[in-house]
Amino acid sequence: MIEASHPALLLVLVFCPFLQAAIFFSCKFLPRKSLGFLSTFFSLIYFAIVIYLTIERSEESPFYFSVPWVPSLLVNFSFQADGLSLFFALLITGMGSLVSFYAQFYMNYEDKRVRRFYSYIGLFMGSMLGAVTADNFLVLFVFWELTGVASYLLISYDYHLPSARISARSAFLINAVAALALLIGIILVGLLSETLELSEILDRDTISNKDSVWVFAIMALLLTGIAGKSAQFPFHFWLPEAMSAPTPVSAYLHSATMVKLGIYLLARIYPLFVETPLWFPLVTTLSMLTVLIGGVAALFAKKLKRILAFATISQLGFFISFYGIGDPQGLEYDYVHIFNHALYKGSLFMLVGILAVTAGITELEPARGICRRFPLLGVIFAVSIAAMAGLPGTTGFLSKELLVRDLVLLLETEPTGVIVFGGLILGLLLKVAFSYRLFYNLFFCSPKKEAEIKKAPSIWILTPPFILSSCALILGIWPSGLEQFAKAYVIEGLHDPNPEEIHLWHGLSLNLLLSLCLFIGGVYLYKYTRGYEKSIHTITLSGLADSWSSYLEKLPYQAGSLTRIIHRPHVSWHLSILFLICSVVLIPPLLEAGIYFKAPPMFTKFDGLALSLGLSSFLLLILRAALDRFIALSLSGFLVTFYFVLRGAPDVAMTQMVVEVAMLFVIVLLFFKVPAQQASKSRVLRLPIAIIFGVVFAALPMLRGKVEGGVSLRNFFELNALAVAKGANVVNTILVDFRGLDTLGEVAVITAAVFGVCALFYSSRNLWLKPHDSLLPVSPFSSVMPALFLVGLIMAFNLLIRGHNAPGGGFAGGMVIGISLVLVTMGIQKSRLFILSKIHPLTLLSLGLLSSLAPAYLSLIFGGGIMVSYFNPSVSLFNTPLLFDFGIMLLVIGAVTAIILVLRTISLHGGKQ
Amino acid sequence: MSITVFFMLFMMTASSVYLILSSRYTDLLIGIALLSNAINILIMEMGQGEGADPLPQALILTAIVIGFALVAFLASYILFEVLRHKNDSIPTYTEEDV
Repeated sequence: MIEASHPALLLVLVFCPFLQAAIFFSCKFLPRKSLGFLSTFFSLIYFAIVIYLTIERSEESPFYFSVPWVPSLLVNFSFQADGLSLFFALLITGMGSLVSFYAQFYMNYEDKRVRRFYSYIGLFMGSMLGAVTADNFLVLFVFWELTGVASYLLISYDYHLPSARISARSAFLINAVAALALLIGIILVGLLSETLELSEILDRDTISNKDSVWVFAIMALLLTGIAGKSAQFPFHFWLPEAMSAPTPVSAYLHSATMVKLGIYLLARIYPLFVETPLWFPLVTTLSMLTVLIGGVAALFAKKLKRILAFATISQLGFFISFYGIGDPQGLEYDYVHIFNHALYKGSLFMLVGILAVTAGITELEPARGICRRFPLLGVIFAVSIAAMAGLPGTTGFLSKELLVRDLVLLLETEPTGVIVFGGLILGLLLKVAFSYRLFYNLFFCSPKKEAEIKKAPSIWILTPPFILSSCALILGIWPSGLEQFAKAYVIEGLHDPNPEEIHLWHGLSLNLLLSLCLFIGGVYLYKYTRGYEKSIHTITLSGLADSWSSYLEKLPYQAGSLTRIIHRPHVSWHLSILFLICSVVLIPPLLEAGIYFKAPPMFTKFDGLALSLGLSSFLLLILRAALDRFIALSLSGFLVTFYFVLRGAPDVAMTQMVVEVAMLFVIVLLFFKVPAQQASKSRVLRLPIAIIFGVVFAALPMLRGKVEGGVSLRNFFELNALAVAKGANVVNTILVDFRGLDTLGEVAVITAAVFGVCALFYSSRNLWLKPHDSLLPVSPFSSVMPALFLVGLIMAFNLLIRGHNAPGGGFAGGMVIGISLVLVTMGIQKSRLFILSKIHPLTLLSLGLLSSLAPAYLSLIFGGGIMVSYFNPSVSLFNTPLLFDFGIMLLVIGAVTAIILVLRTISLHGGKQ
Repeated sequence: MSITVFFMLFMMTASSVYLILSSRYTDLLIGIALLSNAINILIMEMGQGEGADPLPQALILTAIVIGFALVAFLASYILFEVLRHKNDSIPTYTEEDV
């Protein structure tokens, strides 16, 4: 276990930028003019923290913070800052301060959106710091994606321009696609090594089986993610698109930091994969392609920012190559290359941005000779371009010397190294050529017409590029300083602990000769290709970008056609899929259970009933007249009642019977309006589906023995029914006592159904029968009806009272009263309806729901918990389960009468209320 | 479980699925009513041990009641549709609905 030190500082580093973003976004009282300075100030604080952590750093106890998050999914909220993390954090915070300062003078603070701009910059900084310090791979992924979100928001900063929106979408989606590969890779790492903590993955050497195909898959997936983020071929085209963003964003995200996040991850996983045989060919091929494509495009691109973007792509390829050809013993000075690039490319972007705001120049041609008019701008430009080309006296030279040295070494050790050598040397040649192109055009060419200068660049806006290029110059002539700087961030596993020293002057050597050749060759390459500039202006490699965006355009339509295939516009299609899935899922356990299946007895007491039930179901298929079918349905319902009787379940049988009676009313009323039936046409293959599902379903009882725990539950209820719930009828005690809450839910469903029925017809007012609407002839029955109702009433109360100990209960009682009530209202004259006309069924329903709720809380008063039954010791009838059952009875009376009377009224009056 | 009970369950379920997959509301109603009965019997069959087990009975009691509420609501809806369209075919959705 790693010892935690300075967790607070680490957390400040990761979370304060997010806080800063929220404050900038929401605190409208902060004047817009001050936001750039505030952002600079905050970034400088983070920068100072990083410097402090660098000084405090020791190899033994890295800065670490961890909280378990979802341990079962290997996710911990853990952060760790070692040398590699701190180096990138230094870049992020350092460039962040400079870019914020630059943006203060670049961005138009009268624009309201500027608040959003600084907020997004804060969001981005937090995401980057989170990504480089995250120790958990999935946490890293989350921050990795957040940088993509911040990039998306910043590219589409000018969202009123369609081009900015399209570029932002394109860049975001290409990153998202690559990130999906990364996510799969991360999950595979987790499965293989059973940990997602980066420090543990590297320490334990868990991915040890180096030639396994899984390791290759992981490597390929992670490299895909890296290629997406770091704009490697074939994902490179999003970076030039991203140049729609404001220039500070290009300088910060799209050259100095975000695109290097991929490089960071590559460095992280380098110790894991460097000895894998495919690492070298895969990584170097990727890098060579990128270097060459970026280099050629940068030589011919027209817009200044695009030139720089392609140059960045090419440079990112060089970084990747560095890890590809790296020595398993450890790398030397990879930081020098990254640092050098941040210095000169950040500076160049800022300078190009200054040209855009002061002179409105965005392309190379109008910018000709511009540097001769602004000496300070020109000097900074010259130093930055020199660092890009790798001229002696700049950090670029040292970086290039190190690369050339590695390449020459590679030539000696690796048999296939000559290809890599050739490719990268050609890349370096191109780099000199496009650097010279920029230099030549900015300084030597005379402009066709004088550009209109709005204002001279202020000294303040020039400060950040000045600082960057001074660093490039100072460290360029002071190599030991650069060496000390790089050594401060060396980490075990990735770096060679004792690298060779960096020297400005190696003496007359082959390497120096090679460098010299590169310079001369690069200048001549530009001279030679200059003539083609006009004719090859389309070679911006926009082919991939175009096909990607046209693919994105087509995507919704393809999704539409796919939907039309899977989704048929009728419900039976979906139902068939549902039934089929149900059957398929159930088949394997059934086959397993079938092995233990004992042959059933030939004859049982159910045979006759079962046969008639089966046949009555078949009747439903062949009968066509509506009345016949409803009678057949009712018949099968009553047969089910007998089934329950035979099974020894009197409560269920009784309920089934009264429900069947009520159902008879419902379907008879329905039958009045339903037109004559033709054989219905089928839209799906319903016969096979019905047979498959029927067989699977009917075989389900074979699974019975497999269900565990049923016996103990049964014992529990049978033991406690009389003792705790004071009732001999176990089923009833379960319903009103043990599982009273379930019953409450059930009656709530009934209430909802009743209100649904009433709402369908908007007619809850006039439910009761008008005298002339009687279904039955009025005269002979009307005098008997009240007596019939009285009989029903007595029977129902009997059922209710005895329900706790013998078959019966509130539900059956309610059904009986409800049905008698319906019968009475159908057969009686309105004048004799006495009290019934005063009580509305929905009132009964609501009263019932309330009085079944009441016992739940009454028991609270009597000292129990909610729904704990209370029994009065002296008066046996006074107990809460009975009250509960009474409530259910009231509710059922209301429900049955409401449903049937609504249907009757609608059926007779055709809905014209 | 005997062969006849298997036959009964098969006939009830297969008929109800056949009816549910029809393009008519009344078939759907009959199918659902039949299927809820079949499921109640299935619960009973699966709960069979020695003697009557009260737990499946309590479950079925609840299921019967909810089944009734469901069928009643469906019947009202069918009545509603029949009054509007003069027939009980289940509509297919047009391209716009999708």
